[in-house]
Amino acid sequence: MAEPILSIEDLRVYYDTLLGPVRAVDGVTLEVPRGEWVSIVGESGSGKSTLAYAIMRLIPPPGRIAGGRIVFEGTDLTSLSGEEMRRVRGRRIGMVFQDPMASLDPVRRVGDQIGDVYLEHGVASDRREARRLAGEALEMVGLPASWVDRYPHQLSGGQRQRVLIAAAVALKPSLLIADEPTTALDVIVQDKIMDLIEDLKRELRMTVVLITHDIALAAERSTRIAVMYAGKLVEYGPVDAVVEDPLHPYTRGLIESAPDLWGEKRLRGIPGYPPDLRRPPSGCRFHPRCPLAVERCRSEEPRPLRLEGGRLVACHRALEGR
Amino acid sequence: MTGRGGRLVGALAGLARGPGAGMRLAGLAIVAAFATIAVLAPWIAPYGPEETSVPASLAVEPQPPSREHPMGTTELGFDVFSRIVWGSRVVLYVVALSALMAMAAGVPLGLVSGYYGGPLDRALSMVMDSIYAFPGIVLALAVASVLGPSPENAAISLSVVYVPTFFRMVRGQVLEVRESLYIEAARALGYPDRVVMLGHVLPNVAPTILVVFGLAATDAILTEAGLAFFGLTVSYPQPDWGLDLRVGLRHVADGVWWTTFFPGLAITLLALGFALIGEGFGERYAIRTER
Repeated sequence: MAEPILSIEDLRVYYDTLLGPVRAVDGVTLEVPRGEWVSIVGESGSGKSTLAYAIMRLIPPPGRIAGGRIVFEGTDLTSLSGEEMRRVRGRRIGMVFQDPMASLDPVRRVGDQIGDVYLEHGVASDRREARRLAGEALEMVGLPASWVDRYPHQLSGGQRQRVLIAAAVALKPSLLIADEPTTALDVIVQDKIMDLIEDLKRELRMTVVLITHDIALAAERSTRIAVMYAGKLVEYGPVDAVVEDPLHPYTRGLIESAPDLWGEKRLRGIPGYPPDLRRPPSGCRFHPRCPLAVERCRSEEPRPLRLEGGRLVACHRALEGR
Repeated sequence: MTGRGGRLVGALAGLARGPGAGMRLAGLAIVAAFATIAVLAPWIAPYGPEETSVPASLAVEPQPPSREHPMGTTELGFDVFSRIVWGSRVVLYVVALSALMAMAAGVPLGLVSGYYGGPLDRALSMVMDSIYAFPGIVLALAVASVLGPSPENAAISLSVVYVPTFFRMVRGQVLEVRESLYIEAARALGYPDRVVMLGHVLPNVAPTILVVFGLAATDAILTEAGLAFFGLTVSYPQPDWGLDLRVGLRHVADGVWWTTFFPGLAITLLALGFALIGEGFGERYAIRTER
């Protein structure tokens, strides 16, 4: 495994509620090697978006990072001051959000919105230069430079997502976090946006962390897949290994519930619902829904096992019969 | 499409389009008319504000409207029309100054309070609510009588009344805008709070400020008339509509209607003008104005 650009160590993110803390991310350890594309896959409420927001230190209150470290390029982000963290955002880590229709300020021209990045990080000295650079950024994402004068309402969803990507990569960050960037878009546009991210990753030598609920999309684009369930990392490894030989029953369930193009596959869902994270199940959090659950799974929480080939799995029964 | 000139033309064209365009234009026309009258007072008014047609030693009957005095004269022989023209200067000055001061204080406070939330927000909201609890005229009278009579002091006391209006409306809008994804996205690009507030939150609450300005100015005209009525703006015989209203009141019982009717009409018209502007923009941006 190459040197990690990002290494998350025992990260805990809790949302404080009147009924006690919701453990949205509960002890996740994950290393993202430089230059790779790591997709974090999971259901709604698995903690994958919270993880992304935690890396950016943008957890909205009442959420808080309750423990652990987030080491990015040798610096523990959790120890930075607000001002130091602000300078990391946008400059060294870019982030793209789920809903491009709502992520642009409706009353400001796209050129000004991208241009602000250059101004605020001291790259451009005046509006004119910022505008020119914004035009170049637009061209980089496949839009005409002249669109700096457009307002968001004049653009389609896919075009808006391109604008947001242009802003996120404007300062050539080494890490791009994309939180379900194509969920709100139709599949054709989705594919093009993913192509764009892949191209930019290559050109700018970025590392990509993609948050998605779509394991098929993750399988197609990533070098590694991390699977989260109920705030825990349950499986992590190179994409081929995880997709072709999933070790965790939850990963297997996710793959079996993803449709293929020909409709020949028999879809199998995962019965039950994700747990209430205020009172997670004892032992393995997946045990109430797991077809392989035994007594031990109810009482003892499985520790993540490191296997050869850079794989990791947290399941008592993963290695049975191997 | 591009350039400052294009933007200005676009903004002006926008005034005449969309819901509430008629209200906006009518309101702007009324206010612009009064502003013109105020600026051109020396040329429009046939007489000076304190110019009397009779020697000061002689008490005279107020004269009804005639060819020489289209709105009649007062007991001291002042021309009512001329006094309304000259009086518009004081009224507009006090009202504009007070609304601007209220805006200058209320908008930043509402912005910061809504954006940061927390104890600061609670404290500011409590202070503003206590001010808001007073009836406007009572509060303005109290402040003005402490400060003493002058147009500037009247403006200050009026602005105290309208700061909470700006504060509450702006804060409410900020609470909504603050939750927008584009604010989150701006923060993810590493913008400091100052930039997020001024560059993204403020432009998105700007229409609200415009609407509140119209409403505050409307109310301020009526309250200003109240202050003037009690002699807290200028001192007689300097012209101010509210003051003339009180002086004229003495003779209403004798059938002298013109010394009160015309100043009252001016107050009503100007208030209507500002109200139409405020409501017109409210229609345009679908801003609810119940306060």
